[in-house]
Amino acid sequence: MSRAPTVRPISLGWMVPVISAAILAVVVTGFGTIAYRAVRGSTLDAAAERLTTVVQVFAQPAAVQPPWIREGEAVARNSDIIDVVRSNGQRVSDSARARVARLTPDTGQTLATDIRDVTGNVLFSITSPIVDSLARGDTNGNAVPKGVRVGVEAGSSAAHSPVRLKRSYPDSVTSSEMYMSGSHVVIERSIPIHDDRRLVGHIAQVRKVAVSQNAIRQLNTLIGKDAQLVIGNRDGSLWSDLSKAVEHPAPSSTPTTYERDGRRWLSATGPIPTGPWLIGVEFPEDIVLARVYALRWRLFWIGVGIVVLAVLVTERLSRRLTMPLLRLTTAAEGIAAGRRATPLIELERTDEIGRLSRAFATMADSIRMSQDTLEMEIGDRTIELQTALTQLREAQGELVRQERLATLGHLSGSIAHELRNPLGVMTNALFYLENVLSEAPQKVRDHLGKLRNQVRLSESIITGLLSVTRAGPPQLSTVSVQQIVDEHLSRVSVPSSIGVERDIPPNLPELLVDPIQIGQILTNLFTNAVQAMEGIDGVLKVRARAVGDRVRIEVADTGPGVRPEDRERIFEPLFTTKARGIGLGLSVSRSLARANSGELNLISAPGKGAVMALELPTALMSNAATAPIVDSTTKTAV
Amino acid sequence: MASSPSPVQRTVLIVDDDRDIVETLCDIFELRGWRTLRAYDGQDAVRLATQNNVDWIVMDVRMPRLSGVEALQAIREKLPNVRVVLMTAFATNDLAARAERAGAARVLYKPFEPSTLFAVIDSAA
Repeated sequence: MSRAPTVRPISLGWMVPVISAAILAVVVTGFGTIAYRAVRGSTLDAAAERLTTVVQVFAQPAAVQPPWIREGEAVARNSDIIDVVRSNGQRVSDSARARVARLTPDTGQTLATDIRDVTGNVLFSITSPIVDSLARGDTNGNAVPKGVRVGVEAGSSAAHSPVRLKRSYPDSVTSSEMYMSGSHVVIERSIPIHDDRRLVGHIAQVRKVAVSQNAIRQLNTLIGKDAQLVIGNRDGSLWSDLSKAVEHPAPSSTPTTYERDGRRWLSATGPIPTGPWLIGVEFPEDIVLARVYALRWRLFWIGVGIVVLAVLVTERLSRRLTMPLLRLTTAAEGIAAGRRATPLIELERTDEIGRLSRAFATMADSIRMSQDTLEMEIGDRTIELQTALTQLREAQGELVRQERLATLGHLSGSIAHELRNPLGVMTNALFYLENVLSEAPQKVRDHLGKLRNQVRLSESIITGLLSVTRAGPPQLSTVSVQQIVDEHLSRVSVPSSIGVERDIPPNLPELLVDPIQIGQILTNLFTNAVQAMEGIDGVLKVRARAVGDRVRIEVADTGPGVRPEDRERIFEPLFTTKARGIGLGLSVSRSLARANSGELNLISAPGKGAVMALELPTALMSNAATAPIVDSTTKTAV
Repeated sequence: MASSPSPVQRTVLIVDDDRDIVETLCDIFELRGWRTLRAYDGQDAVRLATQNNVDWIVMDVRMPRLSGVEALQAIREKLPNVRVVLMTAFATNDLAARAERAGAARVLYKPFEPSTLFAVIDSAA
């Protein structure tokens, strides 16, 4: 049986979850991306809208005129001030100095306050102490010394004037565009000075760009603490974050995003009506999108969760589908491999798998049954074959034995016959010589006697040979055990060193056998027993017992017994352990016993002498059982 | 031929294809005072038996030209009173029965003691 090569492309159990997970991953990613983009866009739009609103709020003109305009206009109307202009800066009264100084408070906001003529020439100026500190090398412009300090006049030794725009201002309160003065982003504000309604000059202040803390607080309240304000010129030439100049993209009517200081900013700008400026409100994009980012992660984890869940669910589903198939496959492979104990599976399921399992179980059962039947038949046939083989071997052995016996019968018969004539001649010659030489010396007659003995021996050998090899079908008659044993025991010459014990109950049933053939067997057995004890003291025991409806005659000696390896061979023709003899006695005896429906066996243990058991039928047995077995091979042709 | 003739000298015909058998038996018979005739096959036996006055015939069964039994039958046709002992090396019941039917006094199986033969002759006398 050849098995298919174990090629496993992709298991259904894995393919389904993997495919479904992939599909779900694509779908979830798609939807997630769309949702994320939508949320991000709407968030940014909302933020921009809000920034725009904030910008509009900040760009609204103040309802109340700033205090510095009122104060400045008041100072501009002062006659001492006008007198400074009239005298072209030659007459500067203490009063005028004090008024100008008052316009230059020590807040760090106003760098200098000038009185200028209409062309912008500075007639008188007071510089803020902060400029002094800057000149002295104070790097921190905001770290203004505490306490009220009066500004110093321009031209004094310590004074360092901030940069002026040097331009003629119109006859109105005007704010200039922003420009750089040192490291400061500054503007100029001018208030016209009239002398008899004629414009004669301006009070001009150089001010750092600043937004009130109030405005910052408002901004932070409106948008958040990360919000920033920027202010720039309307032409976009300079932008300030209210403490220093900053980079900023060109002004735009719509909110934009740009990168500054390594951060992306969302920015909206709008014009400030009180000057040539733009106000910008900015907010870091990452703060704006923080929630969107959080949403993005949430979406990611939800997606992962969905995919994992899908994998688990579909894997379970497909396992529920493929595991029975796998088990069925394993079972089928088990049956194919010849394993008998195939588990029955999924029989209780009502779906297609269940039907398949039941069909499989039925198939496996029938396979098992036919296998069992086959094995039983093979077993039976094997036993039959073995029995037949054993019988055949026995028959063959018997046949060979009989064949050999028959051949030997022919041969020995021929030899015996050929020897009879010479023996006859010798017998005659001896007879003659004994008669003629009756008066001869004793020595001659001794030799004649030896010759006669040897001739008689030869004759007896030949007679014995002929008798054992020429057995016809048994001529059955009833005979008593005691009688036949006694008769043949008396014919055997037993030396005086051997005792004879007979144990034959008188009430034994009579034998139904050929007395001559059985007598031949008994003679053979007695002779063998005597010969086994030749030269030693021993006992020849003859014992007979009824065994069922048969009689068993045991002939035992106290000789050396039969070696285990010779137990069966002693019944083979030509086998002999004697110095003399041709080894036909027991094989012929067994043949004769069987021809008489009997059996001859050796039953002794080695070292305890030999016990031969001859079992014979009796007259008690039925006719069918006593029918002689005609052994054709023992009928030796003459 | 006999060195010491007896009052009634009897004649025996010994027949066997084995000349030594014939010679030894003749010597024994002569020793006992018998006249002996020798034949080596069945035909000679029949011829000698009819030509001579023979008291006993001791004859082998298996012989060339004419077997002992056939020779016996032939002789008994002409000489119904002659007594015959058959000798054979092959003992079968069948032969004994046939020989007795043909008129043999006895069948002796070789080798046999000559005294047995004389016992047969003496008992028949």
